[in-house]
Amino acid sequence: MVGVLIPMKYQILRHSFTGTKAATTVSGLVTGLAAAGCTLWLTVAAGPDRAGGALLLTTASWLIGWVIGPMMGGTDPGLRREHLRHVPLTDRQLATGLLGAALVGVGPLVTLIGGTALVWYALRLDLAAVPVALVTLPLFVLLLVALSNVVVAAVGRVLNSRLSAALMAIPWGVLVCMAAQGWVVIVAITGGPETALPPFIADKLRYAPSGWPVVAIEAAARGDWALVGAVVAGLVAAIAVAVGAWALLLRRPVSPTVIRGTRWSGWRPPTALAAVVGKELRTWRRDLIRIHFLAFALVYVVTYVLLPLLINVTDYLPMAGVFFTVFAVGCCAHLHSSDGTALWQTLLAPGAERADVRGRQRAWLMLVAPVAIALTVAGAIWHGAWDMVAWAVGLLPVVLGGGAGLLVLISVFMPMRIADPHKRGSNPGSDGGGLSGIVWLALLSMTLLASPALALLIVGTVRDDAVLRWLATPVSLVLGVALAVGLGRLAVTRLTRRGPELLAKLG
Amino acid sequence: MTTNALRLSGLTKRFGDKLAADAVELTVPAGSFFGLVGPNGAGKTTALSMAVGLLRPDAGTAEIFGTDVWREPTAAKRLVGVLPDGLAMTERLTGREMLTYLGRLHGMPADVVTARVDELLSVLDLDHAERTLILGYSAGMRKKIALASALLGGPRLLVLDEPFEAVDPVSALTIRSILRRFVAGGGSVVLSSHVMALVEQLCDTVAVMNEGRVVAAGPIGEVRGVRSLDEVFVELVGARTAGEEELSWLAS
Repeated sequence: MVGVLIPMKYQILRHSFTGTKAATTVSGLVTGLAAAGCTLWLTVAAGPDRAGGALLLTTASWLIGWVIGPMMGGTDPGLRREHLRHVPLTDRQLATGLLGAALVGVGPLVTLIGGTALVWYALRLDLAAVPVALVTLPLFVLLLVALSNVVVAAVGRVLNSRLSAALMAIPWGVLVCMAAQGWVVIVAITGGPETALPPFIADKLRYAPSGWPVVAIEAAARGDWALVGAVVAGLVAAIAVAVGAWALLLRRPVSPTVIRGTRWSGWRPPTALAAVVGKELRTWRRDLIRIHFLAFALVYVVTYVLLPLLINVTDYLPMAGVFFTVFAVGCCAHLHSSDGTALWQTLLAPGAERADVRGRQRAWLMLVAPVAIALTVAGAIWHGAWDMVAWAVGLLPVVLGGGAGLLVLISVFMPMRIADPHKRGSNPGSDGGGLSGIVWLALLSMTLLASPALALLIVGTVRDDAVLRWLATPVSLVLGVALAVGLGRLAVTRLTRRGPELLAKLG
Repeated sequence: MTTNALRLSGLTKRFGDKLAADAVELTVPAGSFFGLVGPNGAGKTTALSMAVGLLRPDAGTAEIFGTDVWREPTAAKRLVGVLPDGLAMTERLTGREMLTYLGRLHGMPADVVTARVDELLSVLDLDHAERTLILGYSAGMRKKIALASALLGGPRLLVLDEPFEAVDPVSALTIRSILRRFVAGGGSVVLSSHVMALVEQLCDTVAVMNEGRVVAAGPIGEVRGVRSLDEVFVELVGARTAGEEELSWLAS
């Protein structure tokens, strides 16, 4: 079975290597190779006492990356369980076959290249450790791919109600945030980033599966062949357990979630704009992907501002509302993409493009603004000092207004292919599409859009000039309104002129 | 004064190497019940999508009652109701919510929308599923709610892509009688279908498409002559049927 599925996946990859997809694959490959290069450099350049610690941290980050990556980036829908539903296969055959197919791709390739750092490390320790590195490396990659798929399958099983769609965002939000804000934790533990990995952390990392290859290599260098045997057996057993768990999860297809509508009470006033707002607010409440990403933005930001509390820094708290809004732009900018080909209904309604864009903007603001304001107020009270208030108040209007503008602009200009709602597979998580790129783009663009207010705040703070700092607020207000209206108008024009082309990209 | 409900001339669309529509010429007289038939991949959906303004043609024009769909889209779209095949709808709304949403989007007065939605839901037997989202509809219900949204604006022309696919016999009867009444009342219908018998029963005019071109068109009596539409169709598209000696291993 593996022999059939691997070439099949290869063909799928080859045929899907066009346009945006090719661009993301290539950029993913380049980023991945750069990261792999960094890993190699770290191991080669670091002193012999530090190289092991650096490797342990790197392999741990790969483990985290492989587990959370598919949820953030959307798994490659190349081969799905649904495609093979009618082929007579046992669950175990199916899991093994899909595992083989999952190995064909950019991710495993890059991990394998980065993993050659293990071979380098072995070479530096002892020549006898090199064969051990060569054996454990492919086993480790196999384990990462298997674990990643188990998590995706498990999430698909759990992510089947509105509550769990929101709850599932908690571990992802916290983990991704830890990866980004990890320095805080390291500073909190070690007192400085320059220090080598403290032994007690290194010991813990050796117990995690990500540390096993390093353990095996070090054991081989010491001549402790019993431990080498145990680690290799452990890796093989872990892979077997992961494949077994995957087979169990594949056994029963997940039944689609049924969400009931509420009793009809009408939309007022009877205008096209109010109808779009009503439609959007209902969709926000009923679409698991939308709920999941919005909850993700909230969890990420709350973790982001709470982590510095570990080192007694409360300055981030009043900015929670601003951060949340900025993050929510990226997490919500797939509006038209998540509605899919339903766009035809808007295109066939004469002149409905304006109501469509403005209604989506308004509904997003109705959802995000109250939360952002509440976060800002609560954060400011907790922080307890006035120094950050000018920053929070001075940035909130421009990020809300600019966000509402940027949101629809990205949605109309940068569609991503998400399966149509009625054709989605059993896993809402993997249907989400590549989001991380959009989130980064939104972060950068929002910083640019807010730069006039930001400049006033920075200069005002550097010169200790309260007037300048508070001048940011009216500037921000005017800018926010202008951006919401202006960028929205650009989106309306684009949708009116190029609506059919957008529909073709979504289909 | 024009008497053509729909006129396509030279409509061409190329996807990569494949010429999906190759200078499609089609004239649908006002008041006709027009059937568009052809094998899979003949370009029916491509032609109909270009005709109603959902897919921009590489060349050629489409006119609805004399109004150019791509030059004056606003005026043209007011005249037509569309049921596309396989596209999503506003899936997270219930049937009533979606029809009301579409009515408002088309700028119809509130009381007219309410009355028409009530009537459409009860005629199409969808009023028992008040709290089911479109996403949870069966294939047949999806076709019916899509037909309801095509009818909602009171169009003069209906363009329906495979309206009877996956529809149960009872619902099919309902849809047929609605369409017949629509034509009797002066409306025009263009529908595409795989089912020849259905087209023979319903339509007065027919066109056959194959490999992106219209290979025959006209009143149904003229196109089929004394034979059945099935036979004429197979001859026109050059299809072959399995002979006696082929697939001999099957159930032997």
